Amino acid sequence: MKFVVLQFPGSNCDMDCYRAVGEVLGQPVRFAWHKDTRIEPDETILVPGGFSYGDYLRCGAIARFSPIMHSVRQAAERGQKVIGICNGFQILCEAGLLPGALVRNRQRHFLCQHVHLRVETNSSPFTRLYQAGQILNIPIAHGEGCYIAQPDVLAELKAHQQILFRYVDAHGEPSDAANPNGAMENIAGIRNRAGNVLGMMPHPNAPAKPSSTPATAWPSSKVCFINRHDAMIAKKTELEDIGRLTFESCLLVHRTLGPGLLESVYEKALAFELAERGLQILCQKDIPVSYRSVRLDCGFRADIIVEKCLLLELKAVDALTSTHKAQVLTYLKLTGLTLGFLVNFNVNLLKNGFHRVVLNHPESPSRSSRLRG
Amino acid sequence: MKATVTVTPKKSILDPQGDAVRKAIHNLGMDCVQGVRIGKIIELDIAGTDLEKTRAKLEEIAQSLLSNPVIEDYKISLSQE
Repeated sequence: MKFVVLQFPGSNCDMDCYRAVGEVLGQPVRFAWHKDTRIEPDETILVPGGFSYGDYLRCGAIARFSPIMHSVRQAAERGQKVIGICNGFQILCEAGLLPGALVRNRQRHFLCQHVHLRVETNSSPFTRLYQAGQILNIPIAHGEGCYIAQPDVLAELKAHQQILFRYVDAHGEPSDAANPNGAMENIAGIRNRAGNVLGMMPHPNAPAKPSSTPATAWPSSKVCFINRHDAMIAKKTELEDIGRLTFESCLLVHRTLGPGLLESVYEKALAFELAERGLQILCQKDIPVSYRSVRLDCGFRADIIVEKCLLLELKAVDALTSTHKAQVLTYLKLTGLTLGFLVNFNVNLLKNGFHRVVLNHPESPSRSSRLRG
Repeated sequence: MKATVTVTPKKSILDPQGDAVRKAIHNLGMDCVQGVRIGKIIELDIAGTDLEKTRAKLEEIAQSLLSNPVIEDYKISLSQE
């Protein structure tokens, strides 16, 4: 994915965003000065935090008229992704790219503290890598972060699942005490109706320092990975996330259907659950096999391949044998993947039918592989 | 020409700043003050003499830049002076 970080006079989180995306996430990124008008059609736009134009008149009121914002509007209309953080959120609201407005914190103090955020839905491209209800710990730093909107606008936001993040307490409750700035319904971040523009007051860029481990940076940075197909980061945590979501999907399917059905039924149900979680899946994909000089276009069909990096071999048999596990290893070798799940649904407890199979590459044991083509 | 644009928070919007000032006024002994709303005044010095055209343009600017219609109301007064 390619990113561009806007810079207005007074922006001060531009460098943080640049580093978070470029160094921690390893994606190509550039700056764009507010007087430029060039935005490439394949760039994700980051509008960073800070005090553009000194917050004169209103936060973001003047920045919204910068030449670059005309290009941002056009890009947003084309469906390009735009992420506004803090002052960026304010600018996007002033520009009308997001509904509502941000006003002075209810208790009138500038707040600089960590907050708990709850991911309200993972059906948005921005929250696809999270679980709905997941709690994040991200800092805020703002004096005007109180989100307000007219009642009809608020109703629309709720009806169309546009509220992405809410301030919550440590238990995940959106209580008054957990609301730092008086925002309506504890709203911390929203998306536009079309789903390609995100605005959030907390700073996902802040925890993502180069010194962060993937475990600390990854949770908040995932908001940037709005198109998993382009997010070519070979990080172990990403594969772990995919594995975790897949395992949860298997659990749900087994709990819902129970044992004793045909393998194809479980496959279809699992495909449905995985797609619901925003995971890209390939079902019954032909995998070619070469034997010496002979190439067979279809050596076998992989039941499900998740995000081109996790192979699923599904069974509905009385018992799994060592041959089944060996079969998965063969499949992994042929697909070039390193991780597979062998899942037998014909069991009382799914954990008894679930096996993780790892193929270790002697050359690069820590890299996760992706399916080519 | 001289224009004065007065921008005030909408009645439906909570004004914490106004609220803080109201409490401070009470502390100064004027308990009868029940409500305080704080807005801003923008004064413009405008060249030219076409009042109508200027007012029309000012309306646009007041709605897009000088005020945020989601949370604020505005009033324009324009005179030749």
